[in-house]
Amino acid sequence: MTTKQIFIDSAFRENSIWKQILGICSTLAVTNLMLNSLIMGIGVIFSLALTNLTISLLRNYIPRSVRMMTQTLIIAFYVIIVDIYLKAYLPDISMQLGPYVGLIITNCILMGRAEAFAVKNKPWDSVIDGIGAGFGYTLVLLAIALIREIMGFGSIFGFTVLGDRWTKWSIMVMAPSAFLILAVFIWIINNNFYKGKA
Amino acid sequence: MSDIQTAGPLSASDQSPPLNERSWYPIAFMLVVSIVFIGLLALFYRSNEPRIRQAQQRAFRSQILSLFTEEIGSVTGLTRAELLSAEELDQNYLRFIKPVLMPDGSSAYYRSLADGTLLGYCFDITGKGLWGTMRALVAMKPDLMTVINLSVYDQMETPGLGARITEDKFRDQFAGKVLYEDDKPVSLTLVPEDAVDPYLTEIRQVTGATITSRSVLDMLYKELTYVRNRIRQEEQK
Amino acid sequence: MDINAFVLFWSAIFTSNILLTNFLGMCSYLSISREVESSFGLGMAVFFVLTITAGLNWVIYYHILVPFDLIYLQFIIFIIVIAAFVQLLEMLIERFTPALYYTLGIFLPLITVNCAILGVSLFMVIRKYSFIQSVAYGAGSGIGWLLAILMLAGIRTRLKDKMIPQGLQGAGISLIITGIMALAFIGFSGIVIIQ
Repeated sequence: MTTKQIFIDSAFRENSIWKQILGICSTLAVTNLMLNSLIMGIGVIFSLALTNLTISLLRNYIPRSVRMMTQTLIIAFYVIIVDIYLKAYLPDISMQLGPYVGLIITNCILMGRAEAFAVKNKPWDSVIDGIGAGFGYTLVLLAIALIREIMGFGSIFGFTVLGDRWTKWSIMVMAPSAFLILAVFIWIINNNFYKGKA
Repeated sequence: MSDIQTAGPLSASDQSPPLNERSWYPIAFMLVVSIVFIGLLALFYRSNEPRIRQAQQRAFRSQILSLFTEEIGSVTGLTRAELLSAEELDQNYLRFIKPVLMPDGSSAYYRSLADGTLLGYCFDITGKGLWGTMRALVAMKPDLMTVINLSVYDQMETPGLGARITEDKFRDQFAGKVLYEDDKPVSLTLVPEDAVDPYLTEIRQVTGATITSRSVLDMLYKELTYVRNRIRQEEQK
Repeated sequence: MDINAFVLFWSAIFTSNILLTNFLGMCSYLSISREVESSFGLGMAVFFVLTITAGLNWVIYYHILVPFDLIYLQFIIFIIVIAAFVQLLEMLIERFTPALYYTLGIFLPLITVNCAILGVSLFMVIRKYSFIQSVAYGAGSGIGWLLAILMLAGIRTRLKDKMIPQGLQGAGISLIITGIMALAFIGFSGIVIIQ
C-alpha cells in the first residue's frame, strides 16, 4: 500500500468514530466548542503518531499476553511527556490542554489503532496511519462542534455569527446532544457512502 | 526525543526472540518496559521541573497583578501592558504586591501597595466544583467589602460548560459587587445567562453549569468570611 | 471530605452515574451491549475491577506517591496498576475457574481501556476521598456502570425486530438511546453533591 492509501484508509474508510465507534468519551466532552475540539484533535494526532511509531518498533518483542498493558503504558508515557513539555515551555497552551490530558490517555482510538495497525506494520506506515486516523477523528470532532457551537452559543471559534436574535439552545451545550448529532451524522454517512454494505 | 524512541527496542532486544514463548518472558518484559518508561518520564520531569515551577509562579504573579491593573494604573499611570510585560512582571510583582502569612502559616493573603497607599487585598480561596477542587484569587478594596475582581485560576470543570467561569463575561460581573452590608454577608443569587439588567445582587450564571456557578458563590462566601475575619484580627493588632 | 461513604455509594449509582452523567467508559458500553447476558458479564467485571483498583490506587497514591514526591507520575502509575491487576485477574480466572473465564475472561482486556476505571481513580484523588470513601465510590460507580449497560442492552434487545432505518441500525440507534437516557439522568445530577 502506498503512503497516500494508508492515510485515506485510516482517515476515512476506517474512520475511528463513524466506522468503529471509538473515542466517544472525548467526542462528547469537548465538542461543544470548536476551539476545544481542535486542541483535542491536535493532541490526539500527535500522541497517535508517536505511540504507533513506538509500538511498531517494539512489535516483535511485545509478548501477546501483556500486549494491551504495554500499549497503555506507552500511550500514557507520550501523553505525559507532551504535557510536561507544554507546561515547561508553552504554559499558555498547557492551561488550555490541562483537563484533556486524562481524556487523551484513555481515548480508545489510540489503543484501537495500535492494536489494529501498529502491531503488524512497519514504523513509517504506522506513523502515517496514526496521523491519518487522528486527522479523520479531528474532522468529525470539528463537524460536530460546528453544529453544537452555532446552535448552543451562536458562534464559530468564539466569534459570534448569529447575533442576539438567535435563541441559544442549552441542550446543544450539554453532552447528550453530542449523542444525537453523532447518531444523525453516522446515519447520513452510512446512507451515502456505505449503501448496502451494512 | 530520539533517545526516548530508541530506548525501548534496545533494552528489549537483548532478549532473543525464542524466549518469547517462555512463561516468565511477559513478566520480565513488562518489568523492563515499565522501568524504562517510568525512568525516562521521571528524568524528563526532573530536568524540566525548575522551568515548570517558574512558569507556574509567573502565571500566578501575573494573575494577581492583573486583578489590580486599574488600581495600580490610577496611582502610578502604568498601563496593563506595561504592568504585565514579560520582562517587568517579576519586578512589578515585588514592587506592588506584598504577601502576608497568617501566623499559623495556614494561608497567605496579599496586600497591594503603591507608593505607600493600600490599594486592596487579594485572597487565594479554595472551593469544590462539580469535578474537583477549584482555586480562585479574589481582589477586594481596602474596605474589605467591595470586590475589585475575581479570577478562577485552577479548576477542572467541563471544558465549554463549567470551565466558562474563567471567561471575562462571568468574572466581570463580580467587579464592584458589595458583599457585606453592616458586616453581614449579602447573598448573591444566580439568574439565567440571558437575563436583562440583573440587580446588584444577581449574577448571570453559566448556561448548563448551574452547579459550577453556584460553587463559585459558595466558595466566595465560605472562604471570604473566614479570611476577612482573620485579616481584621491581624490588622488590629 | 466529610460525606458519608454510604451516601457516596448510592449517589455514585444514581445521581452521579459515571457513565450517564460523567460520560466515562463509553466505548465498551456501546460495543458490548447487544445482549443482556454479555453486558452483565462485562458489567460485573467492571464492577469488580473498579472496586479493587480504587482501593489499590488509594493506597499507592497516599503511601507511595505522596511520601516520595512522585505525584507527577500518578497517571502512568494508575494505568499500570489497573492493567497489571486486570492481567493478573485474567490469569487467575483462567487457571482456577475455567467456567467463569468463559463468561468473564473475554471482557477483561477491554477493561484496561475503559476510561471509567481511570476516571474513578483520578476523581478519588481530586476529591480527596478517604480509603473507605474511595472504595465505596468505586463500588458505586461500578454498579452504576453495570446498571447503565444492562438498561441499554435491555432496550436494544427489544428493538431487534423493530423497523429502524438501515443507516441507523447498530451504533446509530444506541447513541440515540444513550442520549435520551443521559438526558434523564442529568435530571438527577446535583440532588446530592458528592464532592
